Amino acid sequence: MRTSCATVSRDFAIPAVLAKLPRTHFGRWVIVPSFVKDPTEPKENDLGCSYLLFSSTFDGPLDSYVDELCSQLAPEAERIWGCCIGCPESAGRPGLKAYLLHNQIETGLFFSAYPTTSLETVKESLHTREQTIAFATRTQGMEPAALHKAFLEELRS
Amino acid sequence: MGPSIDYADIQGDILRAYGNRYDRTSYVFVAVGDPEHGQAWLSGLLDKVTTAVPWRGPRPETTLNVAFTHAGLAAVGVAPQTLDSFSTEFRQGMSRRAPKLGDAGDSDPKHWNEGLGTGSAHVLITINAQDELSLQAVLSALRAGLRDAGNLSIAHEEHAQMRGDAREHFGFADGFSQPAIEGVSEDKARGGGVPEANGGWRPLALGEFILGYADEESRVDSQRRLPSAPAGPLGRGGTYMVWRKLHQDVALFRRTLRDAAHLYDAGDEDQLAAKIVGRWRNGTPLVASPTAEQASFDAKAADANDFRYADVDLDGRRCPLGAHIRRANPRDALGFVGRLSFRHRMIRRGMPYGPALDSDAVEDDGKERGLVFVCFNASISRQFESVQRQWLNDGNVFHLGHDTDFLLGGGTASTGKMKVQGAPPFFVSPQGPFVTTRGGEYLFVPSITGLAAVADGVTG
Repeated sequence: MRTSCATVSRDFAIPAVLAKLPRTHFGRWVIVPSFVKDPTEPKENDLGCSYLLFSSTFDGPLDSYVDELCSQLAPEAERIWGCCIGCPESAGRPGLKAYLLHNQIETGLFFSAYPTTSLETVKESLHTREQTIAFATRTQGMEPAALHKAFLEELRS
Repeated sequence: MGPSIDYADIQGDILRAYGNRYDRTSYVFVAVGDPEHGQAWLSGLLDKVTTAVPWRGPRPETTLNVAFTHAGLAAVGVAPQTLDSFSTEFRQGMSRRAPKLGDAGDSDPKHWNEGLGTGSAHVLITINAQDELSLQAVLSALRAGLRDAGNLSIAHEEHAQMRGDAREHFGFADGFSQPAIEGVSEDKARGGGVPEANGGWRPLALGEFILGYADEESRVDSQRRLPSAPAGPLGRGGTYMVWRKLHQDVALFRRTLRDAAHLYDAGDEDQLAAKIVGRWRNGTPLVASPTAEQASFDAKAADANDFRYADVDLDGRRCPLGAHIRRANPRDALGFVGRLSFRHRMIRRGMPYGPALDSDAVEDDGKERGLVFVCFNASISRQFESVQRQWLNDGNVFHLGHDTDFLLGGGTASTGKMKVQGAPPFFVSPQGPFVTTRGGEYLFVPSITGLAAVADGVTG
């Protein structure tokens, strides 16, 4: 699995892959080879094989998100999950969606940096912040009249 | 209680600096042609290597220390299975880690000085000297020794020298804030150690800086397991060393500072310079003294670095959130007391190279000058690289967006700036390429036992 994931990350730029899902705040694929051994436990907790964990923080409902994932990421998704046990071979979108939902783990606790703000709003806010700082930097030390003029020009642009 | 430390088996200048008396440092990178000649030459050096045993009586005129790149360990015949037991980043070397370190543009390894970052630098001999005469004598002896040994050559050499005012080229006192280590420098725990919730500080575990000893993770591990280290005799008493030649464009920095200060209402040029660095030029911390330099500031005093950010300056009104020293060592500024920063400390032993730029010059004189940055740490990726990548090259963790460390500078087409918190805030810009990497290597400094094993060819 590690080899095929390495070729996936060689063939696709992961940020670009996730950019195809514009509702995604933060997404990642992680290979879990085994549980970390707790030194206080008598024996190792062996998983038997490696597991692929995909986690994502996104806007809106899960169902349509998985739909988008299966349609927008068709070639990548097939390559990524195609090396997992039980993934239907070239099953197309409905098969992959069912497979992903079947393997979903409900999480009781998760962290979201912007729980009430959509990704679109976050990006707009960042843009506004950068524009504002650039304006402030550019106009530092200006006389009031010139600053007023520059401000109006900034608003118009 | 700290561990029992075998100083005689640890090389000098790591845990305790040799001191300002040694105002000349020469770095000679040697290329080894074959293991036999390399081992024979190293055997002849063994009794010249300076250890960490504290000096009683007069100090030697010169000191000598030895470190290896990964290619160097292979070149002197270290066994393959031992070579594989070193950390990934060390095996890759600094030039292959360049994209992670931000060494791009003019700092890209393809522009580095000859002999650095190419795999031809194998063994680093560091010589510290109290005067020019004794330095030249040792260098001559070293060159003669290389000739006599055969199949050895010099890949690169750098000669650094402390300035008369003991400051780095931008004009700041440097290098006196170091991690306080259990059993070594506990007297500097306040400000140098780990801040604790009760207002106290505790020194760091030795294993953060010397392999083969318990580190900060061992402290909370019920079995007190030691951090990962190379196999065999190289696994104890050694450490990793980062060596970087950093060119400083002093004239550009001065012009930027002068031009920005014209627009800065909250103080003069010296105040703005202090805001960029986080200290006044003589080292007085801004947090402790926000409006003026303390003329009586003594960098060697036990309480010289005894300050925190969270209690008095969380918003950066005294020391800006993006000030160089606050980014390089945030202490408790990231919250959770010091728990987000204490695993990312390093021992620094930098030294300026090149002549000082005339004190009032604002145009470049075409002379090469800068800092040979040297640091020691048990994990290059967790310590040096994390600071470089997460704190200096990215502002996110400090809520500074894409802002990189202003002092280290941006690329030639940089739109970078630094925010100085205040009412109103002030933005220092443009951020020029103040510092450019001219070359560098990741090295391993073996213990005395480890070095003897390398010289004897019995490491695997």
